[in-house]
Amino acid sequence: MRVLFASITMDIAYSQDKKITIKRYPTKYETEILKKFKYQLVDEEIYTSDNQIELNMFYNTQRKQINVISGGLWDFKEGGVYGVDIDLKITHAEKELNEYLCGVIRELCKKYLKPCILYPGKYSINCQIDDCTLTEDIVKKFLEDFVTAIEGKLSEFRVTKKEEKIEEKVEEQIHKIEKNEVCFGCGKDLKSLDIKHWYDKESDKFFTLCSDCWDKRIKNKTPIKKEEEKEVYTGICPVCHQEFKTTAEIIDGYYVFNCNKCNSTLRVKKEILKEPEKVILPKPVQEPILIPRKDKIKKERSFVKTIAILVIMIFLLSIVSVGGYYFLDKNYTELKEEKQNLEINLITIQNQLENKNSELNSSKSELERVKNNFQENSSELQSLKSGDNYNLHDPLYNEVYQFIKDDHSDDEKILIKNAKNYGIRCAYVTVNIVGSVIKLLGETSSGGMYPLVAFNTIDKGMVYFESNTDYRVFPEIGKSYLNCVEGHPYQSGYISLTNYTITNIIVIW
Amino acid sequence: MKKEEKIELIVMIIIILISILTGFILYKIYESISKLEIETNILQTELSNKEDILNNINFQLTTTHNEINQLNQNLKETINELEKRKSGARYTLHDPLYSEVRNFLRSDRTNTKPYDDNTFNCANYAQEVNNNAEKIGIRCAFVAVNLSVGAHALVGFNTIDIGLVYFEPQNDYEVKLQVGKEYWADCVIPPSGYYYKRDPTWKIEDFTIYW
Repeated sequence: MRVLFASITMDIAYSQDKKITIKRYPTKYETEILKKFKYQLVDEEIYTSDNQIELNMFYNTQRKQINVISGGLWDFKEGGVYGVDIDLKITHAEKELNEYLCGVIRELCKKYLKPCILYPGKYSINCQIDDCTLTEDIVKKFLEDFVTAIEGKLSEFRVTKKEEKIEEKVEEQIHKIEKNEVCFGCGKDLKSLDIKHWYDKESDKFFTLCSDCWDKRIKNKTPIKKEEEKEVYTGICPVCHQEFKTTAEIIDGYYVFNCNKCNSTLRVKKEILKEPEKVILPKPVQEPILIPRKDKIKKERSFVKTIAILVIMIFLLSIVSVGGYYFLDKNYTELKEEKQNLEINLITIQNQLENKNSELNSSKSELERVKNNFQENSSELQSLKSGDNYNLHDPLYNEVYQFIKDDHSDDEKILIKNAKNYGIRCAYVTVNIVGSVIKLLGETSSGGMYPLVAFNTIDKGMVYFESNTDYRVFPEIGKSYLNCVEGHPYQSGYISLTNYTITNIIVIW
Repeated sequence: MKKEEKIELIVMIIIILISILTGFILYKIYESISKLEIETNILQTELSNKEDILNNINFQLTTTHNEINQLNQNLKETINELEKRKSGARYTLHDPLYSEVRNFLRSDRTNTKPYDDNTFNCANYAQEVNNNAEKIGIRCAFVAVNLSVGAHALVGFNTIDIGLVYFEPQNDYEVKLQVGKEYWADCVIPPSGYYYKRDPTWKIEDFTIYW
């Protein structure tokens, strides 16, 4: 429960010479208390207050009945007080004044009561102190300090009341203008139209406009009427027989105007009309302040906000769409190019494949042909190579060389037999030698018939070999045998005693 | 409905339409891209397979070419060898009938040649008869006989009807070779009414047949 305990009001007036007069008086219930203080009523003075600051102190109780003591005093001690509220009201508020008052209240609460919670508003400041009790001395000191603080600083916060004045005027004029019927811009009847108000700051006047004229005004930012003065005529419309108000233009001696009731274009002589009442229109201003009605301002702001959001959404959507399109299009183009390249590659590879396949087939045919040819020739060669004791052929030197290398028989008889078994025609050769040699190890060898084997090769003619050593021999009659052996292997191991000369070579096939 | 609300509604509808249209277009493009991606993947796979096949064919082709080259080389060598071998002589021999040997020896004139110990001795006789026989396809052996002093040479034939027979090439007399016997006195068979003087230096110690 909230119970008012003390209240003080300060009326502030500014005199012509800029001096400040402050009248302080308590409210009706606390008069007795405050009379004890130095703040007495000054009823004799008559003045008009320029500003007013009112301070109310309340108890917050725990819903328990508080005993009222005679003379308007409250018994604080018996009541279940758990907190104090201080409300401050300012008639003409200004930002700096409000901030100063908040500071004063905060400091005084801290000094005499407890730290408080402040709720500042434009025309009021609420202060809440929990778990706090009051005594008369504290209240007295609190109020004294409060008044002193206000009196000391108030001259610095001379309230101009400019904003309040404008707002009041706006409200007042809107109220008045809403009763008007004609648009100031086009002269149309405004009863059924959306009304907007134009405040001309310079002339400090309000004009009523229809929404079309308002929109034009907003768009062009130019004064609706440039004429400084216009004559407004009243008369009875011959079409609708109602009284109309309009501005008129003189064309060829006639007044041409529009009836604001039936919207007919009229062309009449001046005599028909009543005497015009001259209305002084404000001078056109460079940048007039346009103040729509508060609710309409809100609506328009909301509409503009919504449109702005939607436009931003469209813009964002466009960006996302364009970005997405660009990204997807890039991907699509790249993929398409890749696909085309792949297709070209595929065709190329397919062609290559066909060519190579054809080439492979022809190569295989060629291989087959060469194989057959080789086979035929090999068979023929094999048949030419083959043979036995009864079918002999003259060999190639390589064949002989290979045979001699592979055959390990030392005896010429066996070697000849082996050669003939392979079909190789081989001769038994006796070389008649005259003279003698002595081996280095001491054995003496005298001349006689020396056995060799021979082949009549196709490519190198007759070739001779020693069967036991496989040395090739080039026997010549009249030559020393030791010199006829290939590589002269015997020249270092034997000493020729006599000539050791070949006298005859007998080749027996 | 107020004008502002109408404008808001129209703008909202435009936004929704644009969104739907944009979404539809983007979806269509995305769908095309997906389709294209699948097609591209298929193409890539196909290309990869074809490349593998091509590589395989190339490998086979290279191998085949190498094989052909090798075979051609071999063939060339074979043909060369074949040509050479074809140009070489071939000899077909046969073991004769005894009468054939007799006829051959009668027709052969080697025995009429004069003997010279240095230039045309027994080895030369045997060589010439042997070579003449083989010239006409009769298989003939050169037989080297070791005597107690020196050596001697004759020829031999492996006849079909009588078997191995030996002949003295200097006079075409048949010879019954036996080791330990005297060559002329015991082994050579002269015409009836003739004989050879005994000479222990002509005693046969061993003999070797060279076919």
